[in-house]
Amino acid sequence: MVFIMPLFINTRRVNRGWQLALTLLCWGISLSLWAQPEIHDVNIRLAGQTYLLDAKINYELNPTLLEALHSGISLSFAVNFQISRERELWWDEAVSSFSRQYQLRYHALSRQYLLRYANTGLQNAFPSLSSALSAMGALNEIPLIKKIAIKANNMYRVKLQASLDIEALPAPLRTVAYLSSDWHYSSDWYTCPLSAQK
Amino acid sequence: MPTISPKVRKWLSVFSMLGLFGSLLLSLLLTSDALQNAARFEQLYSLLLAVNIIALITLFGLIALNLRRLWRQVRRGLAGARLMVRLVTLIVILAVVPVSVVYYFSLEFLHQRLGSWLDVNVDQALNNALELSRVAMDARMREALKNTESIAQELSNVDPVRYVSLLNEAHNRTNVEELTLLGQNGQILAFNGGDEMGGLLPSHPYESLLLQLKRTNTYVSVVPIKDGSLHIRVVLRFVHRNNNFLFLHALYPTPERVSNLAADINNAYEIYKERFYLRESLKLSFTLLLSLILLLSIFSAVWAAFFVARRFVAPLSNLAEGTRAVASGNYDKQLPVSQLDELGFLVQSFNDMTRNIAQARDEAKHSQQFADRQRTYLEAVLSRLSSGVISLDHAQCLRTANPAASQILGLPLHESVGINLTQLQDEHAALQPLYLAIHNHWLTGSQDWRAEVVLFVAGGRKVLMCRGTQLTLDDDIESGQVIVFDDVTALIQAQRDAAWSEVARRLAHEIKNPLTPIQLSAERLRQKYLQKMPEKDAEILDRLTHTIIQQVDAMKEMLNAFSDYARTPQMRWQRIQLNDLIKEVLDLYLNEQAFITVKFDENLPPVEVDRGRLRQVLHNLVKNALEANPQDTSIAVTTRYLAESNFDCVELRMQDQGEGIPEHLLDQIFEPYVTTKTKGTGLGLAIVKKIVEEHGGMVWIENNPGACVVIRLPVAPQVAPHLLPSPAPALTS
Repeated sequence: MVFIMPLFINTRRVNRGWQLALTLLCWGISLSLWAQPEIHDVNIRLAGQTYLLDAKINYELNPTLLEALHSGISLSFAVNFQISRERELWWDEAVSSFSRQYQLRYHALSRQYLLRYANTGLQNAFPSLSSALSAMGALNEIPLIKKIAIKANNMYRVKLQASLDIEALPAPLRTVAYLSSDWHYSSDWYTCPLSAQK
Repeated sequence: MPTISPKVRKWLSVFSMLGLFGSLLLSLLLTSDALQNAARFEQLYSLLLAVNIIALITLFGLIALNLRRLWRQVRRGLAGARLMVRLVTLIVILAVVPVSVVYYFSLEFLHQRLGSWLDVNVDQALNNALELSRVAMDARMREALKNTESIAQELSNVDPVRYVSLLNEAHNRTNVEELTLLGQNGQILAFNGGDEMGGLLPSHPYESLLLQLKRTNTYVSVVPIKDGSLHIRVVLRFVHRNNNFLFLHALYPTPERVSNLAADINNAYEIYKERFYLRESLKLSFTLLLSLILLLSIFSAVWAAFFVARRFVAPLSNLAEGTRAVASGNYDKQLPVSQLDELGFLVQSFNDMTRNIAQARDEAKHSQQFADRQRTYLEAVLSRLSSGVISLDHAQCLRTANPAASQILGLPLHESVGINLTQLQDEHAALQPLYLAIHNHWLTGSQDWRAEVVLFVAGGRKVLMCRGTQLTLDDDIESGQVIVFDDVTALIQAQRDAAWSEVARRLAHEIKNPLTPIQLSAERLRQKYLQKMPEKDAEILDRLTHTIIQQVDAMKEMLNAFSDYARTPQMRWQRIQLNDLIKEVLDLYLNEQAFITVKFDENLPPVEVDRGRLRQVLHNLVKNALEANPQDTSIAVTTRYLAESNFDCVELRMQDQGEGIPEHLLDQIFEPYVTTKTKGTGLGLAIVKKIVEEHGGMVWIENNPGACVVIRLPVAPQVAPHLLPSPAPALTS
């Protein structure tokens, strides 16, 4: 699943295809020894005219990432969402895809962890890393799709994945990051079904 | 598809390669810029890196293809391939060595300097500065805490309805920017805040923070706000007078100058920390970049080496190919002249040379063809000649012989070219008279000579008229003799026949005609006067007329015999066994007092003769033999088959017991009217010789000690009849 889905995205986001191809290559040659983000408690509900998603993501940074964070490197995380319609005897049809971006950095003077929501530009300061990570991992009422886009008698899939964005790292670090398994911090694709609700 | 000329293709290739190298260099420049300047090309860094690597791999593939092609050319031994290998190797070494040295020192420099830039002292100083900022902030934090505690003290003693007004008062009284009162579960009870925070919503302390406060009651911290300025955040937990726990959250601004300075220090510290952290990656990235540049340089050098070497070697390999072509005989090879330098001049000279050689070759070919035509013409003329022509070189070796010569001599002379005449004579004994004639004239050194030679070769007796001429050419070796000979056998025979016929005719006309009136007159004289004459005179007349009549009869008889000799009747050729004919003739003499011994060769091949004529020959010979010695009439007749190298013949020997032929008559015994006998016409042996020669045979007499007549007749042709002439046709006068 892990290897198929990025290819799927490839067709949607051609400009980033080469990154994913490179990432794939690195996945192929190295096995990550550290814990990866875990997605759980995913819940989709209809609120008014929009489907909303709640989920929890457990982020646990490995020593390499921690060291980089405390050395002033800003870490970018992305939660990618994909909604597709199931089809018989054919590839699933991509309905929509979007992502939520986060930036986490350490403020040395105040010893605070700053979490910035790239989509909204909001920024919060946290006294501890765990509080910052749990704030980042709490996905509350994420608007998925309009009600009218989901047709009855069709089955849809919602997939989500959380990962560290290597391309957002400083340029010198990227070469190392692509070649080292420590930097491949990414969850499996989490899939849950979606069908029209009344 | 339009055809592209090689020149255009060459420049197209050059420009495309230059374009590729240029764009690769540009992309490497961008990559380097992306590494150093975070703003401009940072987003493109990975893309550029990937593009560069792929381009370099492509380039490497192209070069590998070139190398493979070159290797194949070397293995096939193509002209100029080895030179190209050497040139490419040289150029590559010349390019790679300096580039590698620069690469090595660049890496050294990079690794040493990057390490030394990040100094421990600077690190410590920045740490201290950061600590100083914290200390500076601590005083303000204590003040903020104290202030917040007093507000909390006031809040703990008022009714909830007065919370908002109290917060307003506190906000107006102190420099607090935002005040939020929260309930036990974190719900907002009252709020007072300015627009500085960027929104109407209160900034919410998080659940984790509230949980933490359940243990410690106070929390004070510096927080950076979005625009980079620093604020002080205080959160308190206090007990209201109705025993409820409440939280008070306050945000205090710091003086702008302090905030800016502290922010600057923090930025500097973070940048330093980041650089320190990134130094290894940076080294790696620069090493990678330098390696890519190194590869680009090497690859472009290799490609340039191939390009230059190919351009340089092309005329040379053309020349080598051209030379090979000339060596293998292809003189029409013309090479393209592409440059106007020394190499071009060389190629031009080569072209001129091959053109000249081709011209010379064509001329030589033409003259050769001309000579061949002449020679063929001459050969044709010679082969159509009825005269035999042979030529001898200075060592008497046979050089040429025309077909007529082979035919006349009955020898395949063309197979004997190069053989010495002496050796030829040894192999073919029949040629001896010819050899002797040539050799004698050779020894005397006569320029021109003529000789009549009689040979007994295949086809029988041949009379040859030979004319020899000394050949004197510039070259001594080329000199020799040309001998032309004609078969005059038939001619001589015809001449002789004609002469004898004429003699016979004249004799008949001039002598025989008057004989009858003479005889008649004599008879009439006798009849008329014999009775009338006196007895004495009658006796004389009778004797005289008798003598006249008798002598006239004898004369008539002689004339008849002569006319028989001169007569040449039509020959009736028959294939017979000679032994049978001899037996047939000898049977007629069995009644006479003759003792005839025969010794026949049983394997005698047949001969082609006129039976009647040959019978006459045998009669004449037997008669002669019987008359040779009236006391001893024994005759020995022998036949045998003689197979010599170039002709076959049948030999008949007839030996009598007479006294033989006197030595001085031996050469002319076959001439008419030459005889040793007192009786006879003197034509017997002449007729024998004439008939034998008419059969292409030979006859002679050996004294042994009695006379032995030897006759040789050619065997009837059965093998290679074309070499043998048909028996001479009888010529009639």
